[in-house]
Amino acid sequence: MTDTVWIVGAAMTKFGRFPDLDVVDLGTSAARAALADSGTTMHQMQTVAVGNVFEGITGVGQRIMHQTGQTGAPVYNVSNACATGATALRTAILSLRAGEADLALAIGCEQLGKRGLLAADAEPRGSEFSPRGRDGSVVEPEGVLGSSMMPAVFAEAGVAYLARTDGASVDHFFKVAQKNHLNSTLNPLAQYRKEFSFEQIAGGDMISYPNTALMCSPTGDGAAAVVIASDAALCKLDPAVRGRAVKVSASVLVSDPWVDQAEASWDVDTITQVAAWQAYESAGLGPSDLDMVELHDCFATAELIHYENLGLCEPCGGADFLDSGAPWRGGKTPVNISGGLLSKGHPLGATGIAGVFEVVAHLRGEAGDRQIDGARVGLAHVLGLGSACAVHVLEKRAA
Amino acid sequence: MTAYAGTDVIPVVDYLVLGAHPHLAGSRCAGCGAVYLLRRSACARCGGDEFGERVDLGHSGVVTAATVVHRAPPGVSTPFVSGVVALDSGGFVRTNLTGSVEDPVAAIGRRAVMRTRSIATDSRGMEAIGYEFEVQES
Repeated sequence: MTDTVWIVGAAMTKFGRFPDLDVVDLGTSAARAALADSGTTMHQMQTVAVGNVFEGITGVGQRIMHQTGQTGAPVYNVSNACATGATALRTAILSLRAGEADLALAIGCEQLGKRGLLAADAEPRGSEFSPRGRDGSVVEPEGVLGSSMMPAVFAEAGVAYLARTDGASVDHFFKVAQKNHLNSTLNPLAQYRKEFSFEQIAGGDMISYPNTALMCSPTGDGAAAVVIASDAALCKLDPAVRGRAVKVSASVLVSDPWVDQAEASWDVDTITQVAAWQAYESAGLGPSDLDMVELHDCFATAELIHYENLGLCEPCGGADFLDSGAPWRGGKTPVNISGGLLSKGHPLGATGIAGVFEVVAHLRGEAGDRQIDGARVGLAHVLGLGSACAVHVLEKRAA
Repeated sequence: MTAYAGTDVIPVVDYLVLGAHPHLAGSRCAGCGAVYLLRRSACARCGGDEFGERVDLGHSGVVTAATVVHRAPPGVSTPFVSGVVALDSGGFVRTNLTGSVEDPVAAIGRRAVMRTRSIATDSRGMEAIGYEFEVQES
């Protein structure tokens, strides 16, 4: 068992569309880069945890090891909606905390292609009505009994936020997208690197009010990986690797607690609040200690809501927080400096580890043009509907 | 499926009750009072598994969420207004919204009343009756 878990290697592929590669190519690329970054090899990994959503039943972790080293180490293939990558990391962390491993590898990878709106394939219905499922529905409910698609879920959350928050308007959601697209222009690993004006964002194709196309994360392909080490393993690594190690100060995963409206809508607020406060308590840190945050901006509406859910501002203070410049580059708590899911991209299984990679890059002072100077503490948040929420708090290693 | 003997209509979901006074129905946890519309294995709030008789949840409530959906999977016509209504008798229901919903933000908190409508007819001539909620002017 280890007192502390350290991230000693981190890498991600560029996010984008790679039709000539498969998910194993992507995962392998990120894994080998993370291993090289930590000066370790696959043969030293005592646990491998791999997050992937859409090919989850194919043994993606084993397929990656077939290309990189069939060492016999246990592989955990995990799936947890948009929190899949973070769940893989947490699985690897648990193996260290359990004393079963001193070095472990966590990989998140996904090849979504141009999948369009994400939805599970519905079983075709027969020519005669036959009730199906927990609701006993005789037709597909989508569009007939409201929408359960992600754009509507997060649009509804944004609308409800505006209705309860004085001073907040749709303009704030447009500004979130403007900020994150601008941030992505400095990130060579982002799927899109294009700046858009407020007017372009507001005037874009409407998907689900108030989110236009430029306020919805794109589908895409990519992978990210981290190598983690126990205290015992850290001591044996090359001093240059040790000097760049990042401390995992909190690793929290929660499912959605019961709320009155649980049957009819996904509550994206409570679950994030619970995860965040557990993480702050675990880390012995608070929101004011954060130098940067990568949060789950699957839609622009989500980011504004999560400022409050993560405690980055006072309740009902999200709009003022954004207007104050705090989450912008150069602000008090820069948010989604990577470009966020909106512009960096959102290959589901990779996203949770990519957020951690981004924080690690800044804490190490290796984030290049987009570096947040002097960053010492960062938070990475992901939220998978269904629901799963993960928060990791990372700290620059004490000298 | 709720049987409507001698008729050729079927509710689009189990929790919609047709007849002279269409309404929604569900179950109430005997242990904690949590209200559900969908088929339950046990209570998600307290873990209890006694639900008693089906309860009438009425046909009206207050809008708690709304959005105008412009982009949908193939076969789903757009635009439509999606939202959630907190029922006066307990429980929350996902629904299409009609009526005073031009501004989804302003629609939050408004009262809404359930209406039934024909959704589709199957190969036997059975007609599926659905529901939607008409948002009232505030």
